[in-house]
Amino acid sequence: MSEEENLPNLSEKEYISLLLFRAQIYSILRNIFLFEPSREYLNNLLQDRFLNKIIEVYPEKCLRDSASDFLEAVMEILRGGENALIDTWAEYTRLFIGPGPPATPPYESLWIDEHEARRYKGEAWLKVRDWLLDEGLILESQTILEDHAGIEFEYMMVSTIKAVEMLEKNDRTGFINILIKQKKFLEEHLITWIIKLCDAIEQKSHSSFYKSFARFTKYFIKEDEDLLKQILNNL
Amino acid sequence: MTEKVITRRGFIKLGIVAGLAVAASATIGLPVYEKLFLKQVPPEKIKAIKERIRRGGVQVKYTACVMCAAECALEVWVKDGRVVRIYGNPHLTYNSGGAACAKAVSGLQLQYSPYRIQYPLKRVGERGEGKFIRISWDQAIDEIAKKLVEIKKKYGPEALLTDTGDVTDRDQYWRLTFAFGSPNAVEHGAICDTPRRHGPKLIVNGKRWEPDILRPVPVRMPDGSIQWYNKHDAKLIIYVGWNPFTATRIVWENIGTVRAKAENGCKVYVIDPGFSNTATLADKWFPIRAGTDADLFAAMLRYILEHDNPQDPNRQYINYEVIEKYVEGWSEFLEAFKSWWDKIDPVTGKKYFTLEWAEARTGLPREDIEKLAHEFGVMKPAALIWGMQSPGHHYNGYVASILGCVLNIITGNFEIPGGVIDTEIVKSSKGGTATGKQFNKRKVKRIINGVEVEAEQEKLHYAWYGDWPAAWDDVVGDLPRMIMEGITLKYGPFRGHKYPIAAYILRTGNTLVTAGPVYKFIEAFMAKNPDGTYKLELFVYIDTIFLESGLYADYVLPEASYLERMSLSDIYPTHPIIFLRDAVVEPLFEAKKPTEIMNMLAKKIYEYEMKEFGRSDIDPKEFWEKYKTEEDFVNEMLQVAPGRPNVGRPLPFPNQPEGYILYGTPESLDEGRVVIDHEKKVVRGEPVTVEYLRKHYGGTMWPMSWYRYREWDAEKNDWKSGGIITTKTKKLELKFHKYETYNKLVEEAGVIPLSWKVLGWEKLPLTFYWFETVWNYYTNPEYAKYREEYPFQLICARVHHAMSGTQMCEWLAQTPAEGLWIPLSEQFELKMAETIPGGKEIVNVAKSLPKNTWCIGTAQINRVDAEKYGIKTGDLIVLENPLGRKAVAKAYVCETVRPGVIRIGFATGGRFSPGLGGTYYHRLYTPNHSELVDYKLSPIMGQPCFADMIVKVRKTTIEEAVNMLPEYYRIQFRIEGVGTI
Repeated sequence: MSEEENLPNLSEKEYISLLLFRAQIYSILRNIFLFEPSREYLNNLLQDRFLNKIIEVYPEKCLRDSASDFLEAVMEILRGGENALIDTWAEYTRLFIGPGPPATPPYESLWIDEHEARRYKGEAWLKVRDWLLDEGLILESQTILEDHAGIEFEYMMVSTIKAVEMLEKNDRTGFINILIKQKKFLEEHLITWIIKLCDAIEQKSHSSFYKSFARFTKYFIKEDEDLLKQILNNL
Repeated sequence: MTEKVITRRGFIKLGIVAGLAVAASATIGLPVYEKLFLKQVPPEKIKAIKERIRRGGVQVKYTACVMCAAECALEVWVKDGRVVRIYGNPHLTYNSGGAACAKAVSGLQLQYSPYRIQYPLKRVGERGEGKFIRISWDQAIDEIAKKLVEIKKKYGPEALLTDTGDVTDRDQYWRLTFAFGSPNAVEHGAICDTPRRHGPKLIVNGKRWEPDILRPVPVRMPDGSIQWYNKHDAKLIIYVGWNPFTATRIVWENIGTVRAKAENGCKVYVIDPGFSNTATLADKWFPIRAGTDADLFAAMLRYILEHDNPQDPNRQYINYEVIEKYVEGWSEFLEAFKSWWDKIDPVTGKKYFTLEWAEARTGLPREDIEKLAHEFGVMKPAALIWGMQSPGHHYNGYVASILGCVLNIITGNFEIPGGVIDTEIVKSSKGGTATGKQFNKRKVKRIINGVEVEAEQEKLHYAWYGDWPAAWDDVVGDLPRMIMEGITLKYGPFRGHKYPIAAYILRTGNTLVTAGPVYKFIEAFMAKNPDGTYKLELFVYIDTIFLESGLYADYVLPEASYLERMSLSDIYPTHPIIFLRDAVVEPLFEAKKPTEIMNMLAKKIYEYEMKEFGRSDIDPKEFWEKYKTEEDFVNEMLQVAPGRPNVGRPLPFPNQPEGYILYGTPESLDEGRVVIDHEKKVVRGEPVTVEYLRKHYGGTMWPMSWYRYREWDAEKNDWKSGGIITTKTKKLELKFHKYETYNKLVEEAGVIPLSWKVLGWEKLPLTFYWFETVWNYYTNPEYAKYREEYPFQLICARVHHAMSGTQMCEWLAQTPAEGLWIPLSEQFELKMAETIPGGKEIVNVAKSLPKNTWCIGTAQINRVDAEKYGIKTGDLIVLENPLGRKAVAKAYVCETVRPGVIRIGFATGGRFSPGLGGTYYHRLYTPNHSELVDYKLSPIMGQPCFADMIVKVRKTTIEEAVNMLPEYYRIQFRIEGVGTI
């Protein structure tokens, strides 16, 4: 990997740029795992400059291509009118909610806890809940569990924003600590199951929107893990 | 585009985000869809939360099970807000003896199962397609309420039918339905075993007779203290088509049977075409032909009557004192019964009710029948018990049920220690005004043929004033016809009034699979009007798990699981007991408790009605203003506990007047903290409350006594009939006064109900009657023509997972039962069952469940029959009935079913809801018993005849099976990935 790719000696402004980029993508992942997309949100996605820039110039081809497919799928839904939108919601419901077993349940406990016979509120949930508590975070609503993919991405988004704040306050130690925790969270949680979840979505979804989104998520997570590794190596 | 690709650093340096970063704090400006779920809270709050979690450790809570109908008391361990262990409640040993069975423990798998319904859903595809979207509770409630009010405006509130299935904490839904203005709230009882309960209801106003083997029980001692009576008295128990060792409402029966046998030498006989779990312990198994229980009972009665001799100690069968003092109508009954004795049965050519006749019909040797009759007559105390799989599921189960009661009564075994007890009339009352039945007394008006008629709301009942005037437990099996044809009231003040069943709320039930022919229900749910709208305009499914019926619903609402909601357990003890079903954890996801669902719907209906009509049948004071919490509701339900008279010996509360109805805690009644109303003959102590029950490990019980059908008449210094018996004459009525009400109703209308006409009756007989069952060539000449072509009787039996949904728990799905539910899964077929594109082809998809590791519903066939057809265990066979309906099964060849009988599990096979876990994948080669049932409901009560059918059998292949099964089996559901994530 070249020096350029290793991200050495970034300025503070560049770090903020990088963090905001990450936060924005995590925000997209979080939103799409948590909610059925509205027409307005899909339009926002089309206009999203981060996504568009990824498509345009990002060095990792897989991420670039999946982002491109994803926005193409977004356009397809928007072109398809009301029915396409409802079909997307029905697909979201089928994949993540049910009825009956969701085709690809978005909960870590259902992918990790072999010994727990893959139940909601398994050991993985407990670990994520405790992790969030250690970070001073609690769930405002009990209608979802802490180990939902969307919540784990929300944590990444929120903590990234916190890291920006640290930098803005010139708290470099705080900034580094957050990145260390993020890396650990990625390694101990997200990486361990999100890839499997995304592969399953790709395989089982009937919708190009969710298939491409799953690919995008998977490549972004891998990319982010690498980014964090490099940043921390240089700090 | 490739040319433009830059490095990561280059990407960052593009400055695409710099604007944002410079423009404002990074904490704002990011487009977050909806509000954040995570909330940053101060360290002190986090510290408090962590301390609470640590301090809590394991919390021990007490509640009641619903994994089967027994609803035993449980001790539940909660840690970190999760249920981590489920045990029996050692403080309340009633029913389960303080232990938890496999079903109870499997509740853990249901509680956190991926099959749970998480959020309200709305159908966006066709019914049955399985295409739903998530909606908010507000939207769901708004749309359902709006539609209900629209339906009310078009047809009247009676167009709503609420069916609350088999889980018994149903009161909130009934209250809402009644308050809305519909008397049509029903439950599982209507499709369970109504003929089985018929005799007890007619004769003592009761329901189910069970042996007096619940031990220990609290009993008042001569010194005034209450001691645990732990001795077994029963000497003989005869179980007919009843299998308490497997899945019944009454778990104490299996413990008691073992103890009575071991400790008192009690003989146990099991009469059943199948060698049930109970039969494994019996002294003898009598493999009777299916559908001939009434024949056996009639022969036993004739034998007892003919051979009774008060002078011979070995022939003292009949207790004449009981008959004389406490029985009404014996002589008429006897006369009617004897009137058959000289008649010749066209099937057997023998005189009715003789041993020879019974031998020819039941297939049991006459010596065995004689032995049963004689021993039952002399071995007192004894109990003759019949169950749902015998009279309960046969067309003529009524006759057997009545004869069973008579046999117990005339031998003096009713309500004696070790005899039989009607659990319905001795258990604690619950519900009271909370259930809302008082709303059915409201006067309502309807215009019928241009004339305004006013009467009580209850007289709009779809069945009692429709085609089933004597079906006091409602009729659910006839729902398909009612949806297709609508209701026409034929009796009562509203006769001539017509309305459709336009709205159906199904809660914790699965009518589609358990209420009769599946295809009939699907036909009704899918039926459309000429304009393309569904005939059933609104179908709401409320449950914790997703079963077949939900696939046809317009709205699916997630209800809090039994561990997340509060109510009272519905149990069948031999004395008053009440258990609290406590909420031990918070509901998962957006599941809501029944009280909350009731209040939300009530409120929204109220708003729409006010808007539409300027008034509402819903009174806020009767709903959300009254029941702020579920505890408020349950406290009201408890106000009527125990609600039983102070009768029997030893008298439960000697300090209170005999015969008075008791309300309140045992302690307050015992210690005299009561108010006595001598006019109403009521003693009211301190009310039982949720708080009280929690302080008492979740339950309480009042003392047991026996001989409760009598009261001491101090004036006459003698016993008189009464006590728990609330019949017209306060006696055990063998003259069926209860029928008089219905006869009068029918006579007034001048229209004979179809359900009576099929028997050639213009009115219900007031004493002994006899009619044959259907689809049985051993007893009914009408079916003789089928004997050669359809040589097998088809019966069904319950397996351990008593509820049709609980087999989604893997532990239960892998626990074999009685050859009906055994690990015969095929690895390849398992893969095949997952996807069948186009509904024709089998496609192998890599799944990992190895062969023979998963229990599936099988068809038991006797070895002799199997050899004749070249069938081996595991072979795929087709069962076909004379109506052309087919089911596919894997054969289980055994010695444990009578030759000529095929026995399959109830609701174990052909399960096509993806919410069923692994069971779903076997739907193509497991039989759904309901596919083969005739849509011929039994007369009088309208119970589906689950055990009256005949079939022929042949071997088949899976390819053939796939093509012959109904389309709904072949639908590749949108939902995939069961158990294979």
